[in-house]
This record gives sequence, structure tokens and C-alpha cells, in this order.
Amino acid sequence: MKTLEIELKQLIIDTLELEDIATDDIVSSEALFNEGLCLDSIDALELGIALQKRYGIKLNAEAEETKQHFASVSDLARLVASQRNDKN
Amino acid sequence: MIRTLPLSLDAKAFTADHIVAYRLDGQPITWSEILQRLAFWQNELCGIQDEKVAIYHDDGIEFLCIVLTLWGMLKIPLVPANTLDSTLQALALETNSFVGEFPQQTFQSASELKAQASHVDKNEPSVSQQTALIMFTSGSSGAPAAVYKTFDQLNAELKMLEQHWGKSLQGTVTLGTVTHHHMFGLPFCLLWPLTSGRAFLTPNLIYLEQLSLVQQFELALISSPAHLEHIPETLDWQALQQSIRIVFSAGALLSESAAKDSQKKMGVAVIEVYGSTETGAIAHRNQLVAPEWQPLNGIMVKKTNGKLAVNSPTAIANNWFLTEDFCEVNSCNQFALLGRADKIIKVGGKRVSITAIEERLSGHPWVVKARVVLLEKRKNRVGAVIQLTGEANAKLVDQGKHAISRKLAAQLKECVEKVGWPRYWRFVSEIPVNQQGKTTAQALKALFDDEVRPRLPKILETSKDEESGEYIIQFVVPHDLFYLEGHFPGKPILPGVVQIGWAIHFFRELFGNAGDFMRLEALKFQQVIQPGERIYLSLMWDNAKNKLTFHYTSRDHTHASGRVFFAGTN
Repeated sequence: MKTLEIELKQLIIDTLELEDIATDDIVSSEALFNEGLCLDSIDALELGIALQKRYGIKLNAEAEETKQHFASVSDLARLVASQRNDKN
Repeated sequence: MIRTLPLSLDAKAFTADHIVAYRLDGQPITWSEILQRLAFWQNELCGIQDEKVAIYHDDGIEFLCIVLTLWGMLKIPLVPANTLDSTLQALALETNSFVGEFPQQTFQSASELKAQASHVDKNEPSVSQQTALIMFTSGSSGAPAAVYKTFDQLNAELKMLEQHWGKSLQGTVTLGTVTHHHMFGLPFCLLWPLTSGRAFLTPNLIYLEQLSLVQQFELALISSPAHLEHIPETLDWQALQQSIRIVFSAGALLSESAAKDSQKKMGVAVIEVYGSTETGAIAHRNQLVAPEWQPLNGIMVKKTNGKLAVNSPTAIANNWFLTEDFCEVNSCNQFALLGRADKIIKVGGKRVSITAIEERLSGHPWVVKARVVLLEKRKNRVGAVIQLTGEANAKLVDQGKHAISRKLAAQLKECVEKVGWPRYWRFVSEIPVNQQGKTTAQALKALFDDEVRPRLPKILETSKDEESGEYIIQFVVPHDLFYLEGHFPGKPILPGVVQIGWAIHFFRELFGNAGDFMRLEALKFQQVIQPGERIYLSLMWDNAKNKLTFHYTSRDHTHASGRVFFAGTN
């Protein structure tokens, strides 16, 4: 799980072209959007597309559960891990 | 020939020995020499077919002679504010003819470019016989815009300036620290002295320190906050005061402290001039006497929707020209400036006020100045350029860029839409200003430009030796790598610290987290690595000792090697 979290942090940094931060600076449990990393609606879209490309995850932008999956890096990691298990 | 010119010059009949200008070394340039230069340029330019001709020349004499020659040929000089790439691209849409000091490069023809550009401005003003020249706005709030000035407008401005200040300038020699490539410098440094028969100095000063070279003259100094905000202490001002008769400043507002400092050192009050490319010079003030601006004789002002409107024969509009400056106008026709009207950009489809962001950020006690710019090259995100206080700079060193920018961004809560929050931050010792003391969008964007240059090489191939567990990463060092800048000029080599950084970076990508960095051992740099070289980076991980061994090799050499120890994750 830890490796996956680092992978996701790197994906976030690369996809959103974030500067001045490394994977170490992102706290896994910290909120990605409102507080914490302070990402916005454009980021959410880009991140959704990147997750789909990398892990084949389909997200319903309207669904309430999508918001929960996007809450933090650990939530995202749980989502990616569970979808992987589904496939296997 | 000069008599045919539409500028009010034709009233002047100069004698051959009339001194038009002096070089900084004191050598005079007479009217007969000007006539020779005019003949030279007539010969040089006679083949030009274009109606508009781009011109750029730092030497006032050459610039003036080219302009006069073009006017004689009924051509329209197109005067860019600088010769940066983006400016030249905009110029190339207008003309194929470039005269003067333009960087060597091949331009696409104007027609080709026009065909490519889908967004060519349909509203571009039409050229008339009256068009004297085309100048560009400074682009403080966006892309520089072309402004068509007529001979009537130029003549009106020169006449007004002479009526107001002509007497006090008698016997002076004009010296500029601002370029003549914009609507303050061109009349003040060149056209006004020329048409009034006063000499000017050429080229312009780059440093105020050069004033001591021209102490023998009685000087009319044409300057801007870019210089007056930073007057050197070390000059012999007591002596220089003898030669400085009058000082003009325009381009941006002068701070009160700079106004006081200038007066103290130079011995005369700074006359600030207000105007724009569109209006020409229209008002003046000595802020130490009164902060309000006094329009020049014959110019009317009024407040329209909070903004200053100007009615002047020097402005490009037939009657009222509406500026973007908020104002108050008093009963004596004087006005106070209350800041620029809002600058609005669109981010992610949302309207965001640059002014609001700048005001909120500047309101933070750590911030001296804040400027914000839309970065088209970086996915249309917002960039912030911040000048911190000395105290806050120490915090920046302590806590890092990310922590500081996050605290500053918190200022924007509930005031600016989240998508409009700056994504990229630059902390600078001073916000960049041009010669006129203005901060252009172009200069701000340039601070973010080098960030799109790569900081990592593109991997060609990664292979693993299953037996030993050794990884080999193959890549070519990019020529435009960020870290090659200045390391070293003309002979770029990959810095050793970057080699260590890359080894750790790729190691973490392949092996995941191994805990904090502890120490380096057995570091050797045997052979420099140059851009373009194909490099093999070998990474070996010793899990028991938390030790990474790396080697940089190429076909012929071993370049570098070392060991990195990590804390481990247990």
C-alpha cells in the first residue's frame, strides 16, 4: 500500500505539474482538495483522466462516492487497490 | 528635403553648423552631419516596398535619421518597445522590412504569418496619410498593442510641451535614461529637443553613474522611476547639482521617498509626467508640493464611470479618450489617480481578478510587492511573483517555498475562486521593471519560462540483470536541461550534484521508499558529462545495508560513481 501511495503522489505531481513539492511533502491522509494540497476542479478532471489511463479506473464525476475516493492519497490508494483486486 | 516633412520641423531652418546632438564624450553632431546620414539612409532604404517599416536603433541620431528618411519616403515607421521574440512575431504580421538593430533571424513573410494567424485583429486602425508612426503600449496588463499616432497629434504634443516648459529648458542639453522606443521617450528625448533647436545627448544613459561624463552641460534629465528609485549614493551630487537643471519622470508613479531623495541629491524637484501611448503627455505634478495632477494647457479631463477621460489634441480619439485609470477630478480640473481598473483573466472558464489577487497577497505582512500573471504556456494557470520582506525571506529559507506559498495563498480564501489561486510561485529580490519603471506581463512570464525546461532526462531504456539485481537506465542528457544554465557558459556540463540527485530519483522510482537520505560515500567524478551524450546509469541496491551504489558510464568512459546510504523504512 505504501508503495502505491508513493506512486500515486508521484502521479499527482507529474500530472498536475506541481512545483516545489516532492512525494515526501504530501501527507497520505491529508485532504487533496479543500485544505491540504489545495487542488481545484481543473485538477480533479486531469487527475481523473490520469487515473483512468494508468489504472483503467472509471470514475463517475457526479457520484458522491467519487468525492470520497478523491479525498486523500490513502483513499485513492484504497480505490486503486480494490479495483486491481476486482480484476485479478 | 526636410521642408516636405509634416512634422513642425519645417518651420526650422537649421544652419549647417547647428549642433543637433552630442556624443557622451562631448563630440558634437552638426546639422550637416545629419544631412549626410539622411542621404546615407535614403540610399539604404530606397528599395523598400512595404508601407510600414519596423525600426529599432539605440542610437538616437541613427533612429531619428531613419524616421526622418522614412517620413520623406511617405513610409510609416513601426516602433517596437523591445526586440524580444514575441514582439518581433507581432511586428512580422505588419511588415517584412526591419531596419536598425534587430537580432539576426529569419522572419516568415508577413503574408504567410497572416494566413496562419486565425486571430488577426479585424479592427486594426486604418493607415491614413496622416499616420506618422505606429508605437506599442508597454503591455503592463497583457500583450503590447499597436497605437497609430498622427502628425497632428505629435505636433500638438510638441507644441504643448514647448509652451509649458520651453523657457525653463533654454540652454539645456537633453539627456535620457529612458529609451526613445516609446511614447514618453520619443518626444521628450528626441523630437522635442530637435524641433526646439536644443541639443540632446546620445546614446542614453544606462547608469546614473555616467552623469559625471557629461557634467560640462546644463542637463534636462528625462528619466523614470526605474532609475530615480535607485539613485546611487556614491556620486558627487554637490558637483552634479550644478549641471542638472530639470528632471522629468514618467512611465510609472514615483514613490514619495524617491521624489524626496531625487530632489535632495539632484537639487531640483522631479516633474512627474502623466500620459500613455494613446494620449501622449497630458499632465504633470510635483508630488512634494501637491499630489494632484495638473493637465497641460488645452487639455480637458473628466471622470467617466470612475475612470479618467481625456480630451486632448495629443490623444488618438477625436474627442474623449477613456483611460483605464480610476480617478477623482476636482473643481480646478486637477485629478488624482486611484489605481488601474480591474484586470480580469479567465481561468478554467471562471473570471478572476488579477487586481484582487495582487491586493490580497500584498496585504500579507510578509509581502513587499506581489504581481500576478496568467501563464498560457503552463496550462493557463496563474503565476505569482513575490518580493518578500527580509524577515519573511529568512522564513523562506527555513520552511521552504511550498510552506510559504501555501500560507500566502490562504489570503485568497473567500475572495478568489480556487482555480485562480497561483499555481506557480517565484520569490524574487525585486520585481522586474523595464527602463520606464514598468513591470510588463512579458517580464513576469519570463520568470516562469525556464521552468518548462526539463529537469530530468527522457529514459530510453531500463533493463534489469535478474541475477545481480542491477538496473541499467539509458538516457541522453538533454541540451535544454534546466541545470545546464550558467554551468558553464559556452561549455555546458552536467553538475555533480544533479548526478547524485538523479541517481536517488531513479532509485526511488524503481525501488520505492528506502527512508531518509543519510550520507554519501566514495563519491568520484572521473569524467565530465556533456549534453547530448548517451549515458548508462547503473543502480545496485543492498537491502541489508540500505546502500545504493551508482555508476554513470558511457561507451568510452566511466564518468562518476558513489554510494548513498538511506535510513531504511523499519
